[in-house]
Amino acid sequence: MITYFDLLVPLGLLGLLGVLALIIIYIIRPNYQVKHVSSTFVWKLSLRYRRKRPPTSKLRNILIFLCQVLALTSIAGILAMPAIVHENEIIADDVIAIIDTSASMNTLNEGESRFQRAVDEVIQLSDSVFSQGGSMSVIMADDTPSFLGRRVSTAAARLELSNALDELLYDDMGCAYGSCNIDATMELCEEVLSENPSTKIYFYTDTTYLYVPEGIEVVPITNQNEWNAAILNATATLEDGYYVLTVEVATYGQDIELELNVQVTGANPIDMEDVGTEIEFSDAVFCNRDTTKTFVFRQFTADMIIPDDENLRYYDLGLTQRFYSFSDITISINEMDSFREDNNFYIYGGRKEPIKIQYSSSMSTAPDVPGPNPFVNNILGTLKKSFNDRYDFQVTEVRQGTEPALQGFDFYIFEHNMPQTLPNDGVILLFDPDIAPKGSGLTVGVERNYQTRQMPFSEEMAHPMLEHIVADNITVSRFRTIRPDANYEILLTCDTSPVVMVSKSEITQIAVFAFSVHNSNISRTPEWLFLWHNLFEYYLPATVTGNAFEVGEEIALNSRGPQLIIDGEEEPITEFPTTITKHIPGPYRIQQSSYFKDLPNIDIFIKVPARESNIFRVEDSLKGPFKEVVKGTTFDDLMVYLAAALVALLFLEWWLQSRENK
Amino acid sequence: MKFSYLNDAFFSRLETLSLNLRSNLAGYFGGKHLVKTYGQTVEFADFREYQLGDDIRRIDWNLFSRFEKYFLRLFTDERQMQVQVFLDCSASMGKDNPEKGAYAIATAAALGFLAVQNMDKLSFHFMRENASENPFGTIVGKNAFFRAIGTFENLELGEDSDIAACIASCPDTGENNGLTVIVSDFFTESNWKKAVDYLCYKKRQVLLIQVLAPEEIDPTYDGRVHLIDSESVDEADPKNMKFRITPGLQKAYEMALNDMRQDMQTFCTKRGVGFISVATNTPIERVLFGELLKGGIMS
Repeated sequence: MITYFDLLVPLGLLGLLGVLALIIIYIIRPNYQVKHVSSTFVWKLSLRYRRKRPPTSKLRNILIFLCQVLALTSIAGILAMPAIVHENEIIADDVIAIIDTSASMNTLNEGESRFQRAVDEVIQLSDSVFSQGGSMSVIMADDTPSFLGRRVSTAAARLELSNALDELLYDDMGCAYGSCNIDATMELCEEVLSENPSTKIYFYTDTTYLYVPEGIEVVPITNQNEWNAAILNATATLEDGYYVLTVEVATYGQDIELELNVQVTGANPIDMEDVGTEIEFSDAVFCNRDTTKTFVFRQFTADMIIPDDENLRYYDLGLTQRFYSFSDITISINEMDSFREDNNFYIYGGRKEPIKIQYSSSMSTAPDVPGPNPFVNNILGTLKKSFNDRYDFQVTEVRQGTEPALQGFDFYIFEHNMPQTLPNDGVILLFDPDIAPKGSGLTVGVERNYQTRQMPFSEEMAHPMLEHIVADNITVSRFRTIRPDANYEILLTCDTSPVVMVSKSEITQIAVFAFSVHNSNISRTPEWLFLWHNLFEYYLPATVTGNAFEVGEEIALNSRGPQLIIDGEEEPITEFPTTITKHIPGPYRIQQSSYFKDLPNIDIFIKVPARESNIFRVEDSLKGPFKEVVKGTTFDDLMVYLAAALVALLFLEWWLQSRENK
Repeated sequence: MKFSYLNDAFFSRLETLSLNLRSNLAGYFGGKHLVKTYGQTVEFADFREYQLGDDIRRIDWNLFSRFEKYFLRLFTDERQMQVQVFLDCSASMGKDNPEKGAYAIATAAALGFLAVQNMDKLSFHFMRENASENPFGTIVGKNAFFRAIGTFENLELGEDSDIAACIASCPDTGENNGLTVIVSDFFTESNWKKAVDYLCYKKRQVLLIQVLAPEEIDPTYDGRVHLIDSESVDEADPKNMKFRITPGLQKAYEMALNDMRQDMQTFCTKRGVGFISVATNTPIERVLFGELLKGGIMS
């Protein structure tokens, strides 16, 4: 039994400021009140009649002041809620062993990983705890921590836990490749602590914490012979027509000269059918431990200024090494270090998928006059730049006297003049249709003409197509009434008649704008750009945003077709948009197809988090679990005694004051 | 002086009253006060055997026919008295409390009016420091009286006064010839009892009137006070007091004041001296028609 005095609310001691206030009041209290009287003769006589004051009366003022000070101190003490705390002794050992299963725990030394050493120590700890009759909890702390065993104490559960720990020693996938989620781990600890607050926590980790909260013992499992050379990050950006490759590297635990090898595959193809060439180059730099160096591979220009930074290394790509397109880039370090998961890095996305767009308009005048409708022509130019990082828009305009093609394009735009039949190999936009093409599912009615009046649009439903669009901002003076079939979603209406509607199914992917840009104010509003941008985002969404992700990171997926197939996944993904999380580092291939044709595969690279490359990582503090109420701890509340003392002091002060006034 | 009780209505109410002085006073010839000596009034006093030299016209012949002896009829005498009013003009009488000063002056004036109404000689003596002033001389008759009191409103109360010294230094206190009235609060360190003894030695009838303000009888202030005496010279004057007034001290004040008044009453009773103590919140009519009538000073 441990007994000690404690203040449950130490801030209550701020009440002692009242003593200061009392002293100030005594200092500044009013002086003698001047009173003019006819004569003080009788007062002088009365002094003889006054009862003689006892010697203690000289101390009365001091006693009154002391009573007031003590009363205020008692009040401050009551506010601070003093208590005698009795902590019960731990009856039996209850232990939580947290095994850090972050990527850096895969660091090897003489054939044994840190993770295996941690599991070994946990096995020894569990044997010790079980021999003393205690219970044991084991938490595997990765990005989604979980219990391997929770408050195991029975014989059957002990055996099960021992077997599970033994299996971890030989399981290659026992240790994860992400980061340790300390917050979630401590929440699991809190579950156990809520049942037994005196549970001791052992944390087996390779991270050094400068501050460790009470109740947790960090068991370091690093070895000074371990070291790591890592590629932390790499990017390829297009500058002056050629890619600039930037690679961040670092070494931990050892100073070495690091050689970086780069292999560019499918570089500089002549056309889409060409597989391109293969380019290789390498460079080396001496790296001090714990220092990040950045390699920049690029073509040097005459006006380029190379910064004077010892951590930056520039490499001039020669004529045969520079590249403007690529299939993939492999960056590697050929070092026999202790942690190999970060020795390779892959960059994808060097080739953009071409999107063939046909624009046919009734306003096409002459074969050599560019842009039948400048509004549409301009917006297509804007969208080409906007989607430049994803697609290569190739716009074909149908000239006067030429019939629009009904196949061979990814996106068809028909303005006013509609074809008799619709293409069936791409997305179709029917802009201000004069008739309903066969198979479109539309019925074109009469034209509504409001003369000089401008009728505003109304939003019928929330839809991705209407993102950032304020329907009231769009007005028309004339439009054609169209009645769509059930395959269409009506997005915007004007005077109760549909004006913007979309259909997206395996059979048809048609969008309809039932108004002419010439009879509307839409071209003068931001809604014009938003409508077109949303149209292409809706029908041609990016399958994946980016090509390099960390282990455990959520990857957002979308599709232009019915499904995506990811390497290593048994089931294809069929519901979109969705997110996936990968837990094993390395390259992954996503097979995709639209409703109309097969699409190029997309490669992504899953890398270990850059922070995990630092295998001797040091953190400021370790977050401890929250203990709600410490079971086994009792309080003897001292407030009642202080309250009694306060009452006694106030009574004594009143009595002294009454004696003083006699 | 802001406060004044002196007006026609005040004096008209006094016309029904008169001073009732002792009959063993000698006084002066004339006047209206009956004395023990025999005189020429029509009021019979006694018989006496005829002696040689007596006026034979005063022989009672009826008694001669019965006793065959000569008896004379004796009649009482009426005398004129000298009334002296000594008014304390120290600061405590009204420097800070004009109502108290006005009350004292009104009391003095009322007694003076009664004196002149009885055809007595009247003199006002203002006591200041160690001497008394008699600015009006001997007043006889109402005209002289009203001329005198017309200047009372300009009377200044200030400084200190020694009652004993003032009365002893008065040149015309007279002997066995009238009434001496001392109007004061008697809040003085001087020995006023000497003055009373002196007047008794002079066989004068003496009346002491103590005038007190209500706050002097029951002081309402308490706490930490610095009392400034109206007769003090400056703040460092020993008359000033700095102390904490507690309920206990207030009780001691009450006891001290009562003892002082009791002592005065006892002293005066022993010497046949009249004494009344009045508060300024008591209507002055009640003092004149009540206290003085009850004490036999008036009739």
